[in-house]
Parts: sequence; structure tokens; C-alpha cells
Amino acid sequence: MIQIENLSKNYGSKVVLKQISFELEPGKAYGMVGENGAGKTTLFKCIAGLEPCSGSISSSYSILKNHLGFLPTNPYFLPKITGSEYLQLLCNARNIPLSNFKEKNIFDLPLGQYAETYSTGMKKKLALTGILLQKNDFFILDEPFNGVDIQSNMLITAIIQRLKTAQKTILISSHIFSTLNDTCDQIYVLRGGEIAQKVEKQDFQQLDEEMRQFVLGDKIESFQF
Amino acid sequence: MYYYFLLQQRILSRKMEELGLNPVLGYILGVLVFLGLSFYLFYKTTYAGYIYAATGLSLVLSFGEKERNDFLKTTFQLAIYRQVRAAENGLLVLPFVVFLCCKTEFLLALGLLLAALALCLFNSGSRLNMTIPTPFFRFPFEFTTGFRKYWLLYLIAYFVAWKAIEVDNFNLGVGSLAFLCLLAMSHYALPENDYYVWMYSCTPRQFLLKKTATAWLYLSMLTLPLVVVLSLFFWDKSWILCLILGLGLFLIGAMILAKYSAYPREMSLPQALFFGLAMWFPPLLLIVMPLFYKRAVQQLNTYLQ
Repeated sequence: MIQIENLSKNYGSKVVLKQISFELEPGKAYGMVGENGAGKTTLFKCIAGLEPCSGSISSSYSILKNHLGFLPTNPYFLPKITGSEYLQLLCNARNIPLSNFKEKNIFDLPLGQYAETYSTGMKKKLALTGILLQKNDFFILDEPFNGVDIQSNMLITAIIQRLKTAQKTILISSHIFSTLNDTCDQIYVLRGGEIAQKVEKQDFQQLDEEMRQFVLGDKIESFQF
Repeated sequence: MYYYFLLQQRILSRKMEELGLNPVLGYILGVLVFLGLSFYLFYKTTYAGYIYAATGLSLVLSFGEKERNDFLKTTFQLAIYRQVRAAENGLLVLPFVVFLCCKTEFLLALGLLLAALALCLFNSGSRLNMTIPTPFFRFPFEFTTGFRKYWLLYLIAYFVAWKAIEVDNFNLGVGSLAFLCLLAMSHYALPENDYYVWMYSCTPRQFLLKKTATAWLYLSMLTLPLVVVLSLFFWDKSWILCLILGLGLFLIGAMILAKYSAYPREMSLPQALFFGLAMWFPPLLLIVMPLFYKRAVQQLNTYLQ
């Protein structure tokens, strides 16, 4: 179990996250939705320990980040490093004795090519493969479906389901509601730096409708097509 | 176009501020260093004009990078884009051209200016599909990326060493060995993205040990063959080669500590000067290294603990 209590984050005088508290249980996937700039990525970085913040994050692990796989929105790749070297680097970092990635290349990526030359979707898949190889217990996936083709989209959904079965904890953000509907057990709505709503599986459709209403409203009418 | 150049000037000033340097002082220092190096080069060698022109051209080539030019092409109309590139290249080689004229190398100055202007029609550094193989695949990434970026310089260093044997010039051999060590050190000059530190599950001390052990292993792989071959031909002076190698290993360790003592920022100018001073007078490293180590552990604690 991972407990986040009163997590707050400011950038100077600008408050990005306000007293956020929630719990994450093993074997479950949690969705995090919110508009651009709502603070999802900042929240994820704070939980991962990549951004300093106030509040507490407690878990059964002495150092949570050593068991955490973090997939950023735009994974950064070092220049002139091939796909397989990237995977090797990630395995080395967690002392995973692995050097042949052929079998593990489920997305059929060109591992011999420089990772920086990959397309957006391929980069995402490579970064995901890396954190899966690390045998983490907790996953933070920031927009894992972004730029990914439909086949890989299905594969990622299946991976998340399998991770849940293996009692792993997953926290996902996505702007594609159907993917959250397929994978998550609970969804948190982040608005103005606060958790505005916690929605259970049976109420996902209602949330989808509410968000549609909230986001769209009559904004498009202003264009007068 | 005016705004584009204004932005370039702002970027340069901000970079200097990040280095802890007042921009005005930075520009003055830049001019002085440029003049100092130019005079030194022309004092030192008769081929200075050619080296000078080649340096100017290599600067221009670095501005022809494909991604940067693709951005410029999509931002400006083609005519404006050409003007921007021509102005950029012209401004870059202008100090070189002026200095060459002062040295009455008029033909070389004109050639440099024309070549720089002509180069605005071409892009360099377009991505190759070929992956350069390296022997460093087991422990990426510093030597892997460094070798792929500077493989030509590595090749030149080995060629110079071979020439040193051929012409029986020990100093040339020592120079190539020292150059290899400096080249390897340069792979640790810039800080990596914080994700690549954060992902390690170890203490800062273990992290620094891992990095140093990898650097020592790979630097030895690159230099030992050279040391062995040079020792065979200059047996009585082999102790000097071993000393240079030992110093190289020591300095690369210090470089790693210096890098992470400033992490996630680049080394500040005072830090770099301090490190440069210690390189010039290595016993100073004995004082500097514990300080760098302490600071590096503090900086890494943020990401690793």
C-alpha cells in the first residue's frame, strides 16, 4: 500500500498541488484525469521523487523509488544510444542481470537503432519495455497511450491487466477515456491542483458524460462555424 | 530576423549567467581569450592560418545541424531563412576574417568568408541510419555516446601514436595518450537528464563508485593497447607512459566527482577554473577531490534517496 498525505507543491507563489491525499493498493490500477496544466505530471514527479514537495508519501518499502517504474509523458533518450543499450542501462541501474533483449522485445522495436531516432510511439514503447524489465512493483504511467498505434494500444492495455493480476500497483494518466475505462479500478479527477472527485468503476460512464459537459459546454459555438 | 538575432544574444547572455558570469564581463573575456589564443597560435606555428581557417569553418559547420535548420525553414520564408543563415555564418567567421586580414592573410580571409557564406546553402550532421559499433555496450552510456560522437578524434589519436613510432618521436606518443585521456574525460563534462540518475537503486557513494569503475575500465580498454605498444618501442621511458595513464585514471575520477558536485547543473565557472587549476597542478586534486566528493553526495542524495 502506498499512502500519499497532504502532498503540496508550489512554484514560487504559484500553488500547483494543494494538500493531495489518496491511497494506492496492490493489484489495482488508478486513473488520474484532469485538464492540461491541472498538475498530473507534477504530481507524478513528486510521487517519484523527481520534484521536491511537502507532505508525506509512505509505503512498505524503505525507498519507494527503487521499486518504481516511471514512464514520463515524453521519455528522454540520451544521444547516440541504441534501443538495446538503453534497456541495458535501465537493467544495470536496478542490478537486473539481463543482456539479451530479443525475447523481451514484445513491441518489435528496432533495438539496434539509435533510440533518439525512434518515432514518438516507439520511444514510449521502448521506455515502457525498460521499466517492465526492471521488475518494479509500482508503476506510474504518464500518458502511456499517447502516439502509440492501435495494436500497441491493445498490448499496453493487456500488460496493465497482467500487472494487476501480478499484484502490482499502477497509476495512469490519459486523455483517452476509453483506455482508462478498460484498465482502471478507480479514477481521480484533478482540478486546480486538488483531487476534485474519486470515481469508482461503476460510475465511469457517468464521469465520462460529466467531463464531456464540463469540457465542451458551448465553447465551440464561439467559433460560429 | 532582427528579433531572431536578439534572441540569440539573450540565449548567450543567459548561458553566461548560468555559468555564474556577468554577461558584459563574459563578452570582454571572450574577446580577450579569442585574441590571446589567436596570437599564441600564430606565434607557435607557421601553419596557423590554415588551422585558424579550419577552426572558423568547423564553427560554421556546427550551425548547419539538420534539426536546427528544419526549425528555421519552417519558421521563416525561404528568402529570410537564407538571409539568417548567411548573416549567422558571416558573423561567426567575422572575427577570424578580421584577424587573418590583420596578419595580411588576405586570400585565406576571403576564402574563409566565401566558404562560410556558401555553406549556408547546405545542412550538415543529418542523421545517418548506421549505428557505430562500440565495445562499451555492457555499461552504457558515457563512453558509448562519447565514442560515437568523437570516433574520428579517437582514430586520429591512434594514427598519431602510430606515426610517433614510425618517426621515433616519444613526445608525440605521449601527446596521443594524453589526448585520449582528455577525450575520455570530456564524455563526463555535461550533466545527464535527471531520470538517468534517479533510476539507480543505490546510495550516492555506490553510484559514484559504479561510475568511476566503469570509467576506469573503459579508459583502460582504450589506452592500454597504446601504452603497451609504445612501451615496446620506447622501453626505457615506459614509466612515463604508466604515469600518464595513472594520472588519466585519477583525473577521470576527479572529473566524475566534479560533474556530480554541480549536478543537475553544469559545472559553474569557478568550479571549472578550480578543476582546471587542479589539472595543471595535480597535487591540488588531493584537496579538491574530498570537497567535490562531499558536495556530489549531497547533490545525488536528492535523486537517489
